[in-house]
Amino acid sequence: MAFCEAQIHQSIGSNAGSGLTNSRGKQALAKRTFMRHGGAARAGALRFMLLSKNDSCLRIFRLVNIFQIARGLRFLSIGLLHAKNSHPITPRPSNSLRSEAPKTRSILMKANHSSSPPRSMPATKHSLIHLQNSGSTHIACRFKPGCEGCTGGLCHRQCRSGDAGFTCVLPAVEEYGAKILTECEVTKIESDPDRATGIRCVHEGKEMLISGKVIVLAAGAYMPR
Amino acid sequence: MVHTSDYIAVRPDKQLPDERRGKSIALNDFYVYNGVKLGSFQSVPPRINWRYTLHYLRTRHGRDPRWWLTLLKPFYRPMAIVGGFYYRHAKVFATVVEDLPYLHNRIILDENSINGMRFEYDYADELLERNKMFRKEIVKALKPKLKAVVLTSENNLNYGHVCGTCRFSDDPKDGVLDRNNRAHDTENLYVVDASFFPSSSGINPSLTIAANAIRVAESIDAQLGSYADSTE
Repeated sequence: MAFCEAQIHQSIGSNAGSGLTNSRGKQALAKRTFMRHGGAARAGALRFMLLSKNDSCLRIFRLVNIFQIARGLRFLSIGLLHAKNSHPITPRPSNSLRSEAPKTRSILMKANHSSSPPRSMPATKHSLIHLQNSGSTHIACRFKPGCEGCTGGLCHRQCRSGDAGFTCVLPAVEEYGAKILTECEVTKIESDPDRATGIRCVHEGKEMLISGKVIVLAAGAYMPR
Repeated sequence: MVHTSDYIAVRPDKQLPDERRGKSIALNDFYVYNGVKLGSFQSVPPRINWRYTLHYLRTRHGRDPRWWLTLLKPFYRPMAIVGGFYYRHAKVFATVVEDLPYLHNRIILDENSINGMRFEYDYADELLERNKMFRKEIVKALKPKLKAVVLTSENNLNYGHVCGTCRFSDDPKDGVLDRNNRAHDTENLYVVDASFFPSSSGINPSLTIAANAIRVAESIDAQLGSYADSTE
């Protein structure tokens, strides 16, 4: 949507700024843009329509714009500034929900994510803003390309920072070397009176005895099947 | 130990554009509230639709002992469609309430059970009270701009966060592991999953488990170094 607005803004706003064109097709396009779009595109279209009639309209429009700024209607005023400067990129309309965006972004950047994060879901952000001064955000997601921010369930994108496999085990295996036996069920810990000597396990239908200097249990707390 | 989690649908006071992407947010304001340990409040993935609402009606009202609620059963589906539409912009949050260790909640050796073990768990009255308090305070904090509806019933045990089955403690009477997660009786046996938790804590346990594993790894490394020195 932002890209679409930028394109329309370029075609309408910049031409309006230079005051070069006044064709019927452009006027129709400007009218359509004014009716359908917001932000810079709408302001650019309005300015184009006004400029095409009379320069004095622009003065009136500026007065109206000052009035709007005084009322806090930044939505249109930002668009006007960009139309005047023929700026190719349109910022998203500002409203109360997006006022917290820079803060959220800075938190994400501090977390050293690999790519820029997506915008918050409006309902989530609305909740966050309403609960002001109430703790920090915890975003355990790296937002890799294609990430939908699912924050739950199984995902192949390795986005979740809380996934022990992707975050801890696999990097350690790559760096230090190890062998992982999947689908291996440990049935018993073999031990002397004061030392564990190894584990008995069943792997691919074969019972095995694996010995080691140190035995680490990390299979999760006991839960009955 | 387990966590107790209530799912709470939070509906904003105005219609907001629907977007697929979302971020998780979590609040720790209620972790210790008025001197009482409650827990954290965090967003969860499910989006509310009519299927979710239907599941809620079936699970919550299905367990309700009031007989006249069974008369509503044929109308669950249309009710779910209306409810799902009304809460279509809502975000679902979950509470994570800390469960404290009780001697009667434990693993018991039982030859008749699978694996030779079973566990017994009683929902403590004080935990029930803390859950009620958390629900009440959350709903109060969200008002008036956000409408919150608790989606879960009073039996809200979260079996995804089982922990504390091999507690750690400096005293072997209170726990089977020492402060480095090494078994008191076995010098080279470590337990570094959620079993070591002395209480369940009021947050999602994943990162705590990972952080502790990194800490314990240093201890194991030191022990392996001492083995190497002794063999040389």
